[in-house]
Amino acid sequence: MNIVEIVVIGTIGMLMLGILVVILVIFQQKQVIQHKLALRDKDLELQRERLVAVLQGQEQERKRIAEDLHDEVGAQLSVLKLNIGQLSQHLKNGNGEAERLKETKDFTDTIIQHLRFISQSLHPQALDNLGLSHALDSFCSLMNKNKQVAISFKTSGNNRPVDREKALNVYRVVQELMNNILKHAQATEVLITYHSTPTLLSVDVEDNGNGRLLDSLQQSRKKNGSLGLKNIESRLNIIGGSITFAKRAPTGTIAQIRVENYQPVIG
Amino acid sequence: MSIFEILFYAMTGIECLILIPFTLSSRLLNKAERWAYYYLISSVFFAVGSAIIARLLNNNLWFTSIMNLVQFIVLSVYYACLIKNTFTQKIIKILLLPAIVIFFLDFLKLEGIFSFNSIFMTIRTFLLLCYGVIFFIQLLFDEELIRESIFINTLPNFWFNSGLFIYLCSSFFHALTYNFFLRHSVGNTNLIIPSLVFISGIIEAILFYIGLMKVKQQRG
Repeated sequence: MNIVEIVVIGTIGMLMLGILVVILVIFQQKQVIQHKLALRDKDLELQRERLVAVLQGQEQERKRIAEDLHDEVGAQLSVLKLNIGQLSQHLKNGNGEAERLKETKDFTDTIIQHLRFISQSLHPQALDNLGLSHALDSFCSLMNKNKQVAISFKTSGNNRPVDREKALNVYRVVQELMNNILKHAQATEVLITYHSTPTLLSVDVEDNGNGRLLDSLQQSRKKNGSLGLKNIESRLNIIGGSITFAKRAPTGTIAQIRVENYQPVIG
Repeated sequence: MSIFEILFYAMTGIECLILIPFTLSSRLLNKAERWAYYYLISSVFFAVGSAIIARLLNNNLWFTSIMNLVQFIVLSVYYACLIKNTFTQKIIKILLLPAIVIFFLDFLKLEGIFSFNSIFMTIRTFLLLCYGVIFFIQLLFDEELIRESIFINTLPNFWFNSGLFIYLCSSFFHALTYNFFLRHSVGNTNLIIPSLVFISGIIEAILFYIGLMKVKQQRG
């Protein structure tokens, strides 16, 4: 082998080496980034699991408080109401004691109603017993008793069973939306429409307010760190759902909640 | 026409063609990319000038040596812009001075004006290869790119550097031995090595064009 051949082979070798280095650099960096992305995905999954755990803990605590209020304080108030009822029968019309007792009984009634409302808000029993559609219906009735806004509920009637966790999260989202509508939207009417197909659950919350529901959610987050919108997004993210906000004609906002594959998995 | 000439004209033609979109998009180029553009202009001038001088004067080696020095300065500035490490930037700038001294020594005294200046060319190629490797290492360990999940094949300068690196790799042995071959007159076989260099020159031009496409994708 003469010197020219050696140099030619050397040059070809160097050319190949150059190309190889370029290819290796591309693949190496690609692998590093893919590894980093995989780690980020794992981290996100871990965060999601933590969030689920926090929310589940929160729900359990709410349920416990709601049960305590309903079963203990509620029962005690009912006994008090009965006692007052019995006392009023024994009293003669004299110095106005009967009227005062009637007032006290009415007041006890109001306290019991408030207690039921708080207990229902903390943990909707109807959700466990009758399902999401009935729980939302019952929530609307309860809200109607306490507020100036007319809240109506509409359903197609074809109500399929909803996974418990998904139902609870959708319920909480509607609750959060209602709170914001009552606080900021200046609405006089709210319509909740419930519709389900075998694969998609849709809940629309429509108000005739000032159309600033989404703005209020975002602003309250900026101003006082309220987690309204974040809470809604996190809850829907956990159950694989989504929410969109649209302007309603002539006034107001429509919040559309969509959850796919919402039915409970059997087995 | 020999394969050597065909490859030379092909490389020059491709470089001229690529210069058109480069010039049209020159406003989109950042500081470092602009130096890559100047390098491309100098390459076209180098190739066309060499061909004309070879026909007119029969010896274009003095022109080749001068153009190699010019390109070395341009590429040193290019790498000084690209490499983030300030110490390396300083070294690149400082090394320009001894390289120029070696060039004049080689050009005027050691190998001569009408010879292929292998000493300077080998040092120049080696230094530029080192700069190219440093830039590759910088890209591989760039935390910002990894954090932002930016793949390096989307960066224009990666493609410019790849083109230069492949070209410099293949021209290293040519730089080292070409003067020896000319002096010892080894016949037509010595044209194989420049032919290989022209092939890598064509690859370089194509990679430069890919780099320009990336510039257009990012800022076009």
